[in-house]
Amino acid sequence: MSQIYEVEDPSDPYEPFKGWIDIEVRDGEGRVVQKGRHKMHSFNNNFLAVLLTMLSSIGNNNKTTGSVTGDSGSSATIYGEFWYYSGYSNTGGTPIALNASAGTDSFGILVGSGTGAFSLTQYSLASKISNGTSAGQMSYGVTSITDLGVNTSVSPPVYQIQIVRAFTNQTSSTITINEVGLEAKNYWKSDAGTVANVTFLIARDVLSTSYSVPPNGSATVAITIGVTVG
Amino acid sequence: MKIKGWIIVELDGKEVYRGESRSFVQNIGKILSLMFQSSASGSTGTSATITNTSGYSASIYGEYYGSGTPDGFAPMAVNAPAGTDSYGIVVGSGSTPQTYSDYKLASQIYNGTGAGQLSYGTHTTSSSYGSTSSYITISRTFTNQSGSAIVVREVGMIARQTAVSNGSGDVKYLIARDVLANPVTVNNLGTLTVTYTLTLSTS
Repeated sequence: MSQIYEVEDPSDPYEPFKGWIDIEVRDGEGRVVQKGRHKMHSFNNNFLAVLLTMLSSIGNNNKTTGSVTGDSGSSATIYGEFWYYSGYSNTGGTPIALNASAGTDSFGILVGSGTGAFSLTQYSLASKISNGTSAGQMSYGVTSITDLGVNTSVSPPVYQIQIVRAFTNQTSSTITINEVGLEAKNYWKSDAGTVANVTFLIARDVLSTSYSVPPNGSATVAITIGVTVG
Repeated sequence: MKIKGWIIVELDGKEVYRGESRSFVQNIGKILSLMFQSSASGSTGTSATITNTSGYSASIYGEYYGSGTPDGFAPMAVNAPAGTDSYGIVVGSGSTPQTYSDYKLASQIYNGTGAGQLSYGTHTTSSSYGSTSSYITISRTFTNQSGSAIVVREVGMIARQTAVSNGSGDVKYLIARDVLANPVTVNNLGTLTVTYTLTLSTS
């Protein structure tokens, strides 16, 4: 799942942001039993809102804030910048982190079983498959993110970022994946404490094919985001 | 879902140009990649090298925590104050075609009231979020107080990253540049407004 994917859609030749989802399912013996590719159709209002919050920042302001709908459905304050001019240290953060650790199902790539149609206002998967080994759960692996740089083999060139996560079924039943989401974390703090710790959905895709992960099997989801740069 | 970018140019309040923005350069891919790679762990993340607007290599971060006073982080600030031409929306007279490796405008028109200069105003932002269509905008106004007409052929966005410990750490980097299909002439005492728009729609 580490190859450089061409991110090009002849039917819509220019999009500032685009992406592909590749899914590969293996059985307990490691054999590939199902695989597929889907174009992303999924960025939502939260994605625009966090971009605007960052762009609205001044660069030397105490704080620049914006608002998203958090994954609980409530409005949440996010930051595009955060400073202290005196009194505290270790000040900073990150606006749109995706690099979740193994076992964390609150951000990074998430999977679900829901099939409800996409809407720009969505703030969570329709039916998230939670991390775990109990019935209906999958073990979330580490999220790995690779900067693939500019792909000049396509026209216009595309800057590619690949996000990969594996999900293992350690239950005794087959689990079906119908939806894939990207959830980000906006986290800011100083020695005075945490000022923002918000997880929010930025993309959700309902897959045109269901993926069945057998007991002891796994699904690896690779999302390649392309930023058109020419 | 469709996502599109637009540039709208107004002259003395009247729209004179509207074109699809095909303007991002590789630096925006690098900063987004770094931010995505962040783990929100409370520790400074990895850095990457970009070419700043002066043409020199500089390090940028996706997650950063400073020390000393002042300290803080702004990864991709564009909201420059009036009179500042080192970041924010900028305009120029160059017409060299855009490439992904651009790190500055071909020929930036600087802030001022002298010959060939425009007075850089503040930025404004707006947004609208719906279930089937949404947009965000960022705009800046430029006033010609030079005494002569000035031709604008290119527009861009320069971001500022301040990853600051003890007050130092400031990088300006180009994230977008567009050459206008039709140049716009700003007469003396005329006002130019440039708006970048990003739209999402489900149709």
